[in-house]
Amino acid sequence: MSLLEVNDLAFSFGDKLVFEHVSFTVDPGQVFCLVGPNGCGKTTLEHCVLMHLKPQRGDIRVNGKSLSEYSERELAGEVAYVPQTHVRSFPYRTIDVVAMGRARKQRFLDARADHEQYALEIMDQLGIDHLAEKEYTTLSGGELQMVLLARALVQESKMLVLDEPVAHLDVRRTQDILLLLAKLAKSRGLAILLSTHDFNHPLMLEDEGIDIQMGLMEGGRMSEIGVPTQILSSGCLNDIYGIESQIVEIPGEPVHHFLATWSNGRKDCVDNAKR
Amino acid sequence: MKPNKAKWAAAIIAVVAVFLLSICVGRFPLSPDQVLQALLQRFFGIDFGITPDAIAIVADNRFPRALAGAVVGASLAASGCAFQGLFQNPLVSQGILGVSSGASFGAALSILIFSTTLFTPAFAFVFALLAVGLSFMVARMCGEVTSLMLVLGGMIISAIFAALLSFLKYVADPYNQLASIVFWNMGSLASLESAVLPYGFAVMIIGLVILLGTSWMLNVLSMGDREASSMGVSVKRARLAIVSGASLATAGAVSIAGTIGWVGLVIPHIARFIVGSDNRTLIPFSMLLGAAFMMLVDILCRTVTGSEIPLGILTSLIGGPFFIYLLRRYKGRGWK
Repeated sequence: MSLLEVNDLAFSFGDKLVFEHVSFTVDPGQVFCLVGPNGCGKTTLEHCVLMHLKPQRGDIRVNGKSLSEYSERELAGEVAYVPQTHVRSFPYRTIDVVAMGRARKQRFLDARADHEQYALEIMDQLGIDHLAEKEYTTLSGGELQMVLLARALVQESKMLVLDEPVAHLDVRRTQDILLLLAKLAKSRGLAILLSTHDFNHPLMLEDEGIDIQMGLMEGGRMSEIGVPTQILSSGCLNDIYGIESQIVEIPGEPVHHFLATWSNGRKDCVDNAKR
Repeated sequence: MKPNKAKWAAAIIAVVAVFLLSICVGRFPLSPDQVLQALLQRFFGIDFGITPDAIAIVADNRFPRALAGAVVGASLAASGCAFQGLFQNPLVSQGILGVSSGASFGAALSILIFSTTLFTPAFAFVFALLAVGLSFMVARMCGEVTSLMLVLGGMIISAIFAALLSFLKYVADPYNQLASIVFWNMGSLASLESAVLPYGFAVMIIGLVILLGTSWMLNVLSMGDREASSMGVSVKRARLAIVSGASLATAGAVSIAGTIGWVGLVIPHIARFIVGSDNRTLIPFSMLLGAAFMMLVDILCRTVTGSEIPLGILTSLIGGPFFIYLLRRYKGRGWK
């Protein structure tokens, strides 16, 4: 059974339709990668899955149970969230922030030491245990992203929802996080829903041998669902983004790379701007 | 870990010391052992040969007064602290949702109707909670109950009750009722009604327990509504619980001691400088500091001059300069 089933979902802000007829599933151990131009509704779709927004039509099921039957606490046991941007308010110790992922198990003031112990274990696994005692307001953007990921893992849920998790990271950190997600899907059977603008991210996960599906959102629909190499080589991106693209295989290595070049349409645009 | 334990020990010792001090000090000074003997003689019947006058002063006057000061201080500080955390705003204090102005209006109304302060605590309490309830309703009427809408609702309701209070002052008999109203609004522990004291204590303690129990939610809520809900905290319910706890504690405090400003604003900041921003330690630490501060100010109120000085005057006069000193020293630590 799929962990997440989205069926004929539609969402609009007031009169403005964001998307409709969106259906897909995510299995345990599977990565589902949302791609599409700015404003296509990737983030909105994720917020629907997280119960932050209420879709006007359609059905979301987690573990076979409709989302409307979940309390926040129950859903937190199934789905954890890594936001794209996080507003830092108070200078908490980093370990306290990570341990907040245990909130769903908290009743009164109990088991604080246990939560901290577990948070430290996860931070150790991610190689960020040296940040534990630091004030989290002093962390860099990349460190914060790792901390938010650690907080989501501490939650011990079956699925991760990540909104452009590597958008602010350098090339090395990006690879680290993507490889970590691949490992979590493979070894722990975590279902992962993530959005990204960089087509090389899904390609990299595919090259890692992960069961990955890519959903292309565009014009208020999810127009394509399939394996990244297949969608990216089909040429359907060219019209959507106004680019010319190809997939390059790196000689001697089992690695694909996505290349986009300017099409004539873009050159017109630049010429117009010059005039 | 060690320096933290020292801070807690220091705070607890301060509370106990100031508590004892406030029973010893006064126009009829007593030594600490006389105080202990008087309390033992009164409550356990062990005879130490303390005069009935001294026992009456200790057990009936100074002891309940010190206790009231401690719990009122703890309540105001903890509520202010919770509201600062909830609204993530350093300028917020316990009155933000209209508790204080509601209580002031209720107190004035009771003075006007009955020409005595007998029913003042009950009226102040009811109107304090009414004001918070109305602030919540305004926020709900105008859309979702977000932090911003709550603050706006609180501002509107506060302004309305302030206007109504001015109206009551305007129509009050200036020689008798008006004086009572003004004096009540300066806050005091001098005229505690022993009949209502247990109720006031009960309400404040319920509020404080709620605030202690929800302090971890305050941390999670400060991550933002969406993240908090995805971590399994029902944002609406958590916010309601925190607001209820803070409002009960404040309403209880205000109804027995009048409106006392400044404590709920400054004590949380001082506590934040000392123990940091984790609400699970910040809230209880604020309670200790608030208790010690309030009892200390009350000692000054009744000893500095021949007659009593209202509490509200001294909390600001002492708290202000002290806060400037701390701001200089810590440079706003605890907020970003």
